[in-house]
Amino acid sequence: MNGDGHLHHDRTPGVEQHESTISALTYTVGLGLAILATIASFVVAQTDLLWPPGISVGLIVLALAQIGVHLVFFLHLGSGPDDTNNILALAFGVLIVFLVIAGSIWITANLNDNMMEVDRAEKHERSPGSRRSTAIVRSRVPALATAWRTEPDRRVVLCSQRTELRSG
Amino acid sequence: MDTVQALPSGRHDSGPAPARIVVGYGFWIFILSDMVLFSSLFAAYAVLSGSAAGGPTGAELFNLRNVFILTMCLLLSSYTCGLGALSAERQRPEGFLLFAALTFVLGAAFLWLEISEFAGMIREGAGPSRSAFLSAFFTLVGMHGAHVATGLVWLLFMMAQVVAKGLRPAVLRRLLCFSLFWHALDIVWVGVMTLVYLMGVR
Repeated sequence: MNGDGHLHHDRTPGVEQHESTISALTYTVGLGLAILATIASFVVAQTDLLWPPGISVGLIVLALAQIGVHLVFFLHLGSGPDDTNNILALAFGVLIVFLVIAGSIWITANLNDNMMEVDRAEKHERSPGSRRSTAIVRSRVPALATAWRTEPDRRVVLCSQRTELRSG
Repeated sequence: MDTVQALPSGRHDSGPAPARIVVGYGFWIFILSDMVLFSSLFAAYAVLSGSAAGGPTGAELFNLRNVFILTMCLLLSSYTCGLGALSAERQRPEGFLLFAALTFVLGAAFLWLEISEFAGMIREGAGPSRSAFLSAFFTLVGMHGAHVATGLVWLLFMMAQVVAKGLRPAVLRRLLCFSLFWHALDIVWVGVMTLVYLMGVR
């Protein structure tokens, strides 16, 4: 702190004289580590250095490590009292990001599993049991629809016919 | 220090937090909300990345050499941005302007390479309307590119402010926000590089 005047002045909300502990060395170390992690990611992705089924896990680990390097060396997120709120906010952000990504993948995979695949659906339509009912519906539905539009007085009859169709 | 011991000695003991901390915190919250935006795009990409609809897949489209150059451009621009912030903090406007110009050149090189990659893909018929995979790809990577473009415009404004107003506290706080923004873009790019390109070519 440089003398009384400054100190008194700085008590008010506003500007404080802050002595940074950050140096060019911090950024240089961060850059070196980040480049190492990047090169490692590219090597892992293009060679069989890792056990092949584990490559995606390895890439995710390397990405997380690099994100950590960025947070500490570039964004200067530390354990000091100034950073407590930032760290808490980051933790909340990470939670939301995790929920959005993992939740979306989970829900969509589940929907995909429950969906009837196209070729399975076609097979189902071609199976002997379903052929008859499909044929009936195809032959009678257009006629019903035309009658529905052109003859409003017969709608009650049509409705009963439709019920028959559904139960038969 | 003895004469002022009557006052709270540390800046955390009492009184409101300094503006630098408050502004940084507020902007940090914005960045986290931006991360949530990106997370939804990442989720969409992860879900749709297999749906190439008979069109080209990532393995056929992505050129990892290009991606490596893009990554290095952004990483080095983060480094020069940090050195620029350091010069600004030490009240050296010339140093700041030099590093800011380097940051701008590296960021612009990144954007130029990315746009030419996009243009090449669209020319080959692999535009965003080709398949769900490509829609998700262009949305995610394009959103990151749009952020970089915004950052470049912001950087020009910051350089102009430093020239016109000097490195006074309000300008320094804006510079702090800009560095947070620029470093955060690099973090998003690590995700894009890993999830889209490195996993996409396998």
